[in-house]
Amino acid sequence: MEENDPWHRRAGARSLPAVVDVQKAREQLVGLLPRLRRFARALARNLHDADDLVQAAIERALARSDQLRAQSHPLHWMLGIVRSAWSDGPGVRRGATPAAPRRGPETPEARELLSLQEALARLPEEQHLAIALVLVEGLSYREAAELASVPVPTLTARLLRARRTLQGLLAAGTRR
Amino acid sequence: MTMSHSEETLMAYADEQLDPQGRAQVEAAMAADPLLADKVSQHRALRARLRRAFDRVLEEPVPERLLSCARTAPTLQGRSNVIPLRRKRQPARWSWAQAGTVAAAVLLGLVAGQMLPRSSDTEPITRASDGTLLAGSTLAHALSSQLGGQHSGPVQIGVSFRSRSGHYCRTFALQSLLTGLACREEAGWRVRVLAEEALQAPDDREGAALPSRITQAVQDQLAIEPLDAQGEAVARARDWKPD
Repeated sequence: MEENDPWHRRAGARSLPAVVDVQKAREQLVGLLPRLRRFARALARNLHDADDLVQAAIERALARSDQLRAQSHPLHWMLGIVRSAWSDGPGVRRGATPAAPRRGPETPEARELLSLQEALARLPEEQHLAIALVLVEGLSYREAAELASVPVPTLTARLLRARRTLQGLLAAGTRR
Repeated sequence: MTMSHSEETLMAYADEQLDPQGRAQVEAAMAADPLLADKVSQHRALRARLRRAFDRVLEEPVPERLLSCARTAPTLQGRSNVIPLRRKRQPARWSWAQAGTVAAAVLLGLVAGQMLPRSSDTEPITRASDGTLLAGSTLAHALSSQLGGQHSGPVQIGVSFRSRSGHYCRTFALQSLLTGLACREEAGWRVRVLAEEALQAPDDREGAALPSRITQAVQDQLAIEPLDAQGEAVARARDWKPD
């Protein structure tokens, strides 16, 4: 039974832990960086904090490189590390005052992103996480619930509340 | 059904999280009530707005500091390079003598202080005449015949590879309690490393991991890539004998 397989082999695709090649694990991490940056950007208030979060996650993952090499779902595992780093780290948490931007966002797209980030930052943490996992990263409810460490019904309830609140914030606040 | 329960269903429909039966039910309800269709559109619109904005991040060039962190930040072993294939100057974390001693201590603990039999059909691991450890018949049979990933019976086989000396080696777990590394030599399957650590149970976030002393030992012995399924089949056909 695949689920009980402690070696995490999946039918049809043998994933061998790259027990010798740390370099391969590093390059695999490099390949995941765009996704991790997007997820971190949805959690943090601005680009700088988001990339700090990703850097912290990379360092944590490499410090546990024996587990990294054994992963059959490295993206899922890395998203979990980003999520923990976000929950743990005071500097990049939503409560921190935002760093003053050196210049205002220059394009309509950048302004839109900033508006969304500011609105998300005003959600309770668990709702913020639900939005980032499902609506930004596009994870299934089940995958999102796993990463949030809650049962699926809890996740969906949080997600619905989050959407309602977010819609309210976006309608009310951030048009310039 | 309360209002918010049914709105959760609408939301799940908008997010494509319903099975075909659920989808059909919602579509029927939407056909009867345009307000439901509005709700679904709102959910989809918010999702699309977030995707449009955040997907741009995927197209950004990755900052150099993150690339360099991934490529050079220290790993578990404190090395930042590919593990060299040549034998390292510094001693392996588990020398064979040490591994043998610890393994023996583990086994002595398991068999409640009895001396290991010279050979036995029932002991998983026995002591050869030169004092090293050999797989007993059940374990040896599993090592010789099971392909990686198969686990019928008490032995689970992990990865197979060739050591620097050209011997075939395989990692194994005995009933998830003992994990180890054995290499096929003249006298049989020699158990190089044994760890009295269970395979970590997979949880939702992290995959199962071999005890680090096993992976360290594998690294120390590894000469070339681990064997894939085809490589294992070929090795098994030659009874795991080196060239």
